[in-house]
Amino acid sequence: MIKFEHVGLRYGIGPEVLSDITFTLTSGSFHFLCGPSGAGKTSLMSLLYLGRRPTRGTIQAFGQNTNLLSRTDLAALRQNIGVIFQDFRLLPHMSAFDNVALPLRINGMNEKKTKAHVEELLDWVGLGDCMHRLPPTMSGGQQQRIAVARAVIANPKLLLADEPTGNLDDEIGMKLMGLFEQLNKMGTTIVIATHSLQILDSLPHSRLILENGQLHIFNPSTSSTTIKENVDV
Amino acid sequence: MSRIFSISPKRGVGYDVPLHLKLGTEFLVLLISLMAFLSILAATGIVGLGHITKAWTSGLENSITIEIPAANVSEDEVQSLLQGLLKIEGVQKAQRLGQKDMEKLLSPWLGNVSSLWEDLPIPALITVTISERNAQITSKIAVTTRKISPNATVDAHDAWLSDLLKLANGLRLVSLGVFCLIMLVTATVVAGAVRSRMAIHHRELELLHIMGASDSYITNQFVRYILVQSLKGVSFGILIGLATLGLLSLISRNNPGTLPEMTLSGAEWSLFVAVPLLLAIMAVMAARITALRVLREMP
Repeated sequence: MIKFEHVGLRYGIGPEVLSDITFTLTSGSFHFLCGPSGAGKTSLMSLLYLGRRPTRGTIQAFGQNTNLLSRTDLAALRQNIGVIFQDFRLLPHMSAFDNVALPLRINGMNEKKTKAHVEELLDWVGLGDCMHRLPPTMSGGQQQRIAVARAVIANPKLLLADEPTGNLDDEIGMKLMGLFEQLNKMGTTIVIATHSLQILDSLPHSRLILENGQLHIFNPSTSSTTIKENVDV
Repeated sequence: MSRIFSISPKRGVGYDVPLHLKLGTEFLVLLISLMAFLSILAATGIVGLGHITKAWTSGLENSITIEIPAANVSEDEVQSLLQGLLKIEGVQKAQRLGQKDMEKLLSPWLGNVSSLWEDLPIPALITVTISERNAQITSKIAVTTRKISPNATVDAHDAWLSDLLKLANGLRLVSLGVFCLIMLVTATVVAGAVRSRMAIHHRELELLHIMGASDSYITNQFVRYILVQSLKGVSFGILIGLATLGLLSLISRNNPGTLPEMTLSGAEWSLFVAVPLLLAIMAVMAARITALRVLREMP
């Protein structure tokens, strides 16, 4: 589904923040992305959601070489990816309903279908009764659920979450992880960037560990670590 | 007044980027109003100068004056010249100015000259009316005049007409230049406004980008916003512009001589509405080009 080949990333003329990253994410897999602060997690996430182009190497996404795609084609490809940000990044001037509906409107879905989908999903995340409220008037947990609903509403093939439990208490955090597990069982590939040892210990998924811009892959089920190898995870 | 230049939250619904939040919206609408008003004035200049030029030249355009100096005036010569002129193809009328007409011409400088008429060295003036102004007719008139009355001079008013037309056309060109300048300033201001909005809402744009919004999807939001603001500004500008023209027309009618009188056709009135609308189209185009350019700078 996603294939990185010798990918490097630098900002301007600075040093490489990611060096020679090579890995493949297979369809329907579940991964944690971890590593110390400044290791390049956010940069790797931005490459995964095709928000940046790498300075070297190639990224294949959904069977296409992203280096060769036009801006329009790249935008269409991004519609297959859902992203949950640590700070939610909800649009404060839009209601919870409109925030969640945004990816569907971008995809060009008609308003009738959009309304039905959004209402169903907001009910599912337990926010059916406050869909017309503005995000700043809602609690952190509610905002988080809107962010999740927005990321999954368009049924993405790949779901990326950057520290999704960072602003939540343990109980809600674990509930959210349960939701990700459910989505994964339905076929969505999931990558979660996290520091939480509690979450890492509780779920036996493979770990993409970033250290000094280099990627190590650890599979708890086999307890093996691979460094910079061309591996499918 | 502030309601005219602002946008209510309800109307803002539909923008993914919060463009409806004020942030200088009033200034933009006010500026477009002013530009629309100025564009109407520039258009009035172009149309009005056309009218004035026509009015000035219509009396002289198809006429030529022949002057036989007082010392050489002989009735026979005048008559044969008149007959000779009337034989030329394209000459509709050839007529000597009578005493009364001459007195009228002289009175602004000499006062009442009736009593002095016999003592004054009055030249003979012949007015020739031609069907159209062309070099062939003018030349034939000059040749005939030289043949019959060698001392006579032919004044085709060319120098006067040409200077007048040069002046009027120059002023029309200046009006056109002012109009182009207005368009350029509007496009520049709109481009600046779009650029600053895009900088202010960079995070929202990045988010839409990540969600898969194409450049045209994002650009359309800015285009719609500028279209709404431009139409508001242009409507206000047209209103003020037409009111000003109405007032000027009233003043010229009530105080003859203060302003040139103009009777505008339906097409000319619609031009005054079309010109500011062209300004709105220009603003929308500037918004679209700018938004696409800025988005192309994003990864």
